[in-house]
Amino acid sequence: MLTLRFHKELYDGFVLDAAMRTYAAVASFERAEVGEYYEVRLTSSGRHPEQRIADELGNYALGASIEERTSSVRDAAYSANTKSPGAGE
Amino acid sequence: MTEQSVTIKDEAVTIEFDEALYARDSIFGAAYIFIDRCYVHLDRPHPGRIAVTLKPKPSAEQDPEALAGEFENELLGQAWRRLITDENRLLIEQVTTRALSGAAGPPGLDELMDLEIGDETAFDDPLGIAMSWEEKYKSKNRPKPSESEQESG
Repeated sequence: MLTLRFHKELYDGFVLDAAMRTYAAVASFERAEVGEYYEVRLTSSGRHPEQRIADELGNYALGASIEERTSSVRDAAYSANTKSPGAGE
Repeated sequence: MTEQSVTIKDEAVTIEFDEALYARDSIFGAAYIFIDRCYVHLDRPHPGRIAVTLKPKPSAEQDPEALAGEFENELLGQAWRRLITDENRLLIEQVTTRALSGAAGPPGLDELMDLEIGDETAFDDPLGIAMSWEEKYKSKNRPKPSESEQESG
């Protein structure tokens, strides 16, 4: 079993859940919140090395967290622009 | 504590950055670029600092030191682009707003009903109703009839 730690300020919890669902076919996961971290305990189903799954899960979670963050910043900017009719004039 | 530190352990390299020098979004941007050839992990070892760990994927063998250098270069580029975007944000918003309002077309009946008509706006003509067809649709480059007659004569 491998334990991974993802800082809450850097990784999105929902995205982490989605990543675990994506890799559910090759490993089982347990998620807990420990202080400022999400802690993920990973157990491979046997076909792939745990370290490889952990690395891939980490990349997936980071990429999706960044995409999520980028789109939420963009949405916030768009709604701020559309709510004030005089914005940008 | 130094502003930046690089640690190489096994095949992985960990670079620690001060968030006061490099914005978190710039670090995210650089990390995203490296996802295709490295396993990237972010951590916060101390408040105000972000540690980036890069481990080359088996398909892309790379020297960890070179990887660290490339990441730092990419981060600098990201920070610079972010600065330019921030400086031009107002201009970008203005251009976008005008483009969107232009695409919406002329005002509809609801907008006209909402217009407050007073002394200053009574003679405004947003739809160009008071204009003649020629005035409204005339081509700026088309010569006036009198000019073309003179040229032919």
